[in-house]
Amino acid sequence: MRVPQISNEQAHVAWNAMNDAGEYDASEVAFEYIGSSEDDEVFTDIELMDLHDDLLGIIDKFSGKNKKNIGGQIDSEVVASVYNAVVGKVGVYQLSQIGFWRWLSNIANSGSFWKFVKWRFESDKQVNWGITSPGSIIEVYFYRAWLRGHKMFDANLSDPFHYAKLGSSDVWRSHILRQDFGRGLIYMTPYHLNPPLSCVGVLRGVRSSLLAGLCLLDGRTGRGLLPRQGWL
Amino acid sequence: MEISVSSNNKITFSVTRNDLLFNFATKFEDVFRFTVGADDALTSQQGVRLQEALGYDFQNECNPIVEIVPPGELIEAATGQSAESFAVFVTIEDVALSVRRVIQVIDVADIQEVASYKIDLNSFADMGFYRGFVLKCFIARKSDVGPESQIIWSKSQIVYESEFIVKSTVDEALFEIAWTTFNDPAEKKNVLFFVDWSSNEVSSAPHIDCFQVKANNDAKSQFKRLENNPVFGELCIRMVAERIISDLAENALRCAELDMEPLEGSLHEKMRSLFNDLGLDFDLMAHEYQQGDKQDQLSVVSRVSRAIQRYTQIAHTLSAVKFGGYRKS
Repeated sequence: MRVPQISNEQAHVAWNAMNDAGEYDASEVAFEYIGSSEDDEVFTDIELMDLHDDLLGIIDKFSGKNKKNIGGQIDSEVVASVYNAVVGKVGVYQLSQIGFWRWLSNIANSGSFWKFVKWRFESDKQVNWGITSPGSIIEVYFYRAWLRGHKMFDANLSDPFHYAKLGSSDVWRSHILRQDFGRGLIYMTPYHLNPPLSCVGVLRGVRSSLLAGLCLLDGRTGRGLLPRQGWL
Repeated sequence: MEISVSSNNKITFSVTRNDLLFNFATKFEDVFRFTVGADDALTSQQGVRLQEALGYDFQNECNPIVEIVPPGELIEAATGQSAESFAVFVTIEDVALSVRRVIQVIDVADIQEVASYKIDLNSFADMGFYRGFVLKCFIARKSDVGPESQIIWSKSQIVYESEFIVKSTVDEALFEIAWTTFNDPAEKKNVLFFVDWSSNEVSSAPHIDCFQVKANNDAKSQFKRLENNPVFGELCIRMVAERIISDLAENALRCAELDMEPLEGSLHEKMRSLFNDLGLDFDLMAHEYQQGDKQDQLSVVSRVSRAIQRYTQIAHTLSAVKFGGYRKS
């Protein structure tokens, strides 16, 4: 499928319209598309109807609660919905491109996903909506949700998203995705559940190349790595 | 063995063998060789081996090959341990996705002659290589032993590593402008831009988590006109940029954590690189700023201000401005 993408400039215009008036008329926007021109199928809002419904359910579930306390739970619940909305339809190469996530975050579905991010953060940090450079793509809210699913999906588990859901948003941003060791396909269960800051120091001291497999960090003591089968 | 028949009916038998000494690495730097594809020579040169514009199809255009020269004797000479305890590991990382996986694990004992491995980038369905890839080859133990028994005892101790980078060019600016509609009527009317600081973790957090350069969205069209003005546009834009960079520089000097290596993409790291371009030592000046008295701080700020004006070429741009006059109609 070809997927739409927009520039930072186009995203700025949409973001400000949404922020000012709560709506943005994208009918005049000329989208570029990522994908083969021979592919007639285009990824549209229709593909995102389930995601839209799921996010409304999440808003309903957590409405009125202090998002500073339960923000991580919201972010965990979003993972499977975002992943399922694109998997099998959009290629990894396309999903690596920030232009698609800008479109999804600011314009798709009449701005409903823009409103979700606004509800989640209640801030005007535009990077959450993809208004940033390609090098900072992990800071984009929906991209990060997809990447959590992409990295940690395990079809052999009763809940394939078990590990993708573990851990708060801050742990994922600061202590996994931004770190070199986080590039390995890692399962850090105790670390997710109880991440002492000292763990970060411990991990930084380890040669990251070796963390390319399965590993387990002792989250209770924050000391040492406990290599398991398949570590390398 | 070769058999050849010459024109005068002479038959020549020749026997050759590989020069084993030549085929064994004489230093670790020779162990791993890499090529991106047809036009790239197979060499041990590390670092960036190919850089293309964003959008280049690395997955289909590159045919990387890694060649491994037997490292057994080197390992034994360097560690005093049997090479059989070691293996060569090859990992590939998708730069855009920040996903890395091990693609080869080869016992050193099995590498008796030069081994060549073709890497089919299309075989990695979970990677797209939109921004390129990093290939790492390293030598490490296959399993741990007691810490006291050997110099190299843990799998995490790397005997030698080579890193080959194939990546896209990404225009990573020092800052990006967030055009924002201000709520306060007075700000909406009078404020053009400001640096909105949200965190002092300039060394440990990505720069976008520390600050955002906000500009007045209502003034955007006028700002764009100014930017395109052939007479004063460039000067004005440079002055704005200089003001922002100076703000970022001073606060980076004030808040930098000098006892740690800055995170990649942090303001500290970006400023260190900028200062390097300016011929200044960021960490030294930050130390002077943080440890010195108020006079020392003023002195540092003064030097930085001059350097950044030099960088943004304010005076040179002013000198190029052509002043005309206004004729009365």
